[in-house]
Amino acid sequence: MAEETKRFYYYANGVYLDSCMKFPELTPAYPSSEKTVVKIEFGQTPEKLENLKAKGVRFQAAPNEFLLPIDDVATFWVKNGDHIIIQPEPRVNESEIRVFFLASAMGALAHQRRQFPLHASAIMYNGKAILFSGDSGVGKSTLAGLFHKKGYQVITDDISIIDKEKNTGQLLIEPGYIQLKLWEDTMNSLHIGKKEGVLLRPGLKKYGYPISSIPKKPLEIQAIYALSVYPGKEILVRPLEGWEKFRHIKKRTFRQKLVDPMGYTEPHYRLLEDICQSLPAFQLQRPFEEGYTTFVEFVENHFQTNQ
Amino acid sequence: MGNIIWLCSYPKSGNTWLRLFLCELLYPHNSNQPFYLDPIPTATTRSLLDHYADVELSDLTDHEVRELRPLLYEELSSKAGETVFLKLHDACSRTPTGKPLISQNATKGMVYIVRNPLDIVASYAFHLNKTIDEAIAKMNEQESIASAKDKLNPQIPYLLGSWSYHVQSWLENDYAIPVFVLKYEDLFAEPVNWFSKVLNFAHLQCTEDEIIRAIEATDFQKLKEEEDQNPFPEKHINAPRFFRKGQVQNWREELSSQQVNRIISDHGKMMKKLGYL
Amino acid sequence: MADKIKPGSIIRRNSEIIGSDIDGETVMMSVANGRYYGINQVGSSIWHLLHEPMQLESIYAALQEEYEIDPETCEREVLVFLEDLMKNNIIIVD
Repeated sequence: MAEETKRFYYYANGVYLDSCMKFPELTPAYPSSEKTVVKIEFGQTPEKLENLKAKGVRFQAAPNEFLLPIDDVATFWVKNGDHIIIQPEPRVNESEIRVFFLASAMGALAHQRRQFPLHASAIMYNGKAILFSGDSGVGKSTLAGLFHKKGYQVITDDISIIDKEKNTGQLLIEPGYIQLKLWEDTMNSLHIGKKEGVLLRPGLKKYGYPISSIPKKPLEIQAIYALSVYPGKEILVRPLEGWEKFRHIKKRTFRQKLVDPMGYTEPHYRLLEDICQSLPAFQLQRPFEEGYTTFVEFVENHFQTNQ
Repeated sequence: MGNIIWLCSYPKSGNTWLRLFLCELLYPHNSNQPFYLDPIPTATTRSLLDHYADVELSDLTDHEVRELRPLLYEELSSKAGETVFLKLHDACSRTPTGKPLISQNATKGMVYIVRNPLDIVASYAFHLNKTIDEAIAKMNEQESIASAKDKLNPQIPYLLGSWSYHVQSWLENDYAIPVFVLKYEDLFAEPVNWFSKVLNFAHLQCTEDEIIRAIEATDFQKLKEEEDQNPFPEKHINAPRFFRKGQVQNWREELSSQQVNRIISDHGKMMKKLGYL
Repeated sequence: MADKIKPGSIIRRNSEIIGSDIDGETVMMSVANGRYYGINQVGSSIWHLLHEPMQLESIYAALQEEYEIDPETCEREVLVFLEDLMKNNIIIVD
């Protein structure tokens, strides 16, 4: 393995990455001594995990281990919160490996590091984070893109990594990747030319759109907005409380089904409890017909008046 | 054999009524919640499939998603561990490598709901917020794909096909799964009788009292009134409302003779087969 | 451990259940199976009472005082509720 020598260094989701692969989607950074370094290497991955506790159509999970083969792309093996091994399939394009690495492998890594990965995009407002969580297709990335166009800094467009500050115990969101993933129609409505983005996978009309800057440090969280579309006429917003809030946040946990088999049931629950107890959440419903311009103004106005 | 009972139909054929009835009957819930459909989701809902795919479907190509779907339903079936219902609007099809969309491993059976296309047309036009003639054309589109391929919708794209194709594809499918054909018109005329037959087919035991109560709770007029207060979650983006008339033989008032002839010329063969002509 | 709640039964929390208070509502999780439970206000009150094992009759008395309802209704409803909690392994009856 002569190619092994060249290494790349990044910082994302609260960890330093020492990588065998180049990631244009990540912020370059050299490891500092205080934070752990996650090693990313090409190598052989197992067929089956030894202590297998759960599996699905693709994944396998065991205490502190996660294995994910993706047909024609690569197999990812995430271990102990500090090691990711990638076994690429022959002739695969690196950009395709990155798509699954940045979502699935990094999501599993977050669980292993006892962070809380929430399916949410996030932007910075007045030095604090506003999160937009929801199912795939409700407009999380579009909303992040729109706020980006308005001059707000984007913190992440897909997974929000929530962490507990070691000394103060405060909940913080970690800056994510320097890219938005946008579908072609969203690119059009944001007036972003196709040339400004990179096609993520052949056969998929979805682009990686680089964003120049994201916050450098973890941020305090002002609020979580649970986003959905509905067939009514008015934009609706109301506080989420108690069991309802708990259920929403639990449901939007990224790959929640990995928590128990990887052995994090109790610490994960404690973090979820903490998030529900300390962060305000709102249900935010966008009418189908509603254009995004009015919607963004409405949302902006709401988080300004609810600081 | 698997655990899924598919509630399958062409759009606007009574699927939602059947779902509301089954949810009312089988899944206790807070009666204040309007349109309780949560326990019977749609099989093409992105967030549902994401859960079983272990990756985001939005990172997969259309080809990959189609190939993966049968496996996701098998996974859903095995994780469910007991009978579950799923709504399906797909025409019967195979994956790019030729696997059936729904396998025997995933499937306990299918209730296929069929309705006179003459009655579907006006309802479908209203649902899509299009003219009757546009709806007639849509119902005859052989390659009709529902939802969109090049953007991120809450529903993944799937093959719908023409009305005749849809019906034929399921009634003559070679999947070797038990199919129970339910005519909307029969259900409308004798709800207690036909709902009971559906429950028998699913091997579910309920008393007649319970069935009658669930039918009353999901009475069309009541649903319509409820929709005046609360928007129905599965209403089409462009339609003013979801519950319209729910009638049988209403086409006599709503379609011109020319329109009737066009539908008969498009779908006559299948209509005859089902006794609609 | 008993499988029925009877007069004189001592009821305690299952130590594998963690409960937390979120905006005044109680949410519980089983460390054993990762399952979550949301319970109503009465359930919450019972859960709080049970920070120490308690006899059935003392639970009735405490709740009657808190909610000002007649003994009969209270006993009937609380029993149904406790049985439900027992079925879900949230409480243990001795």
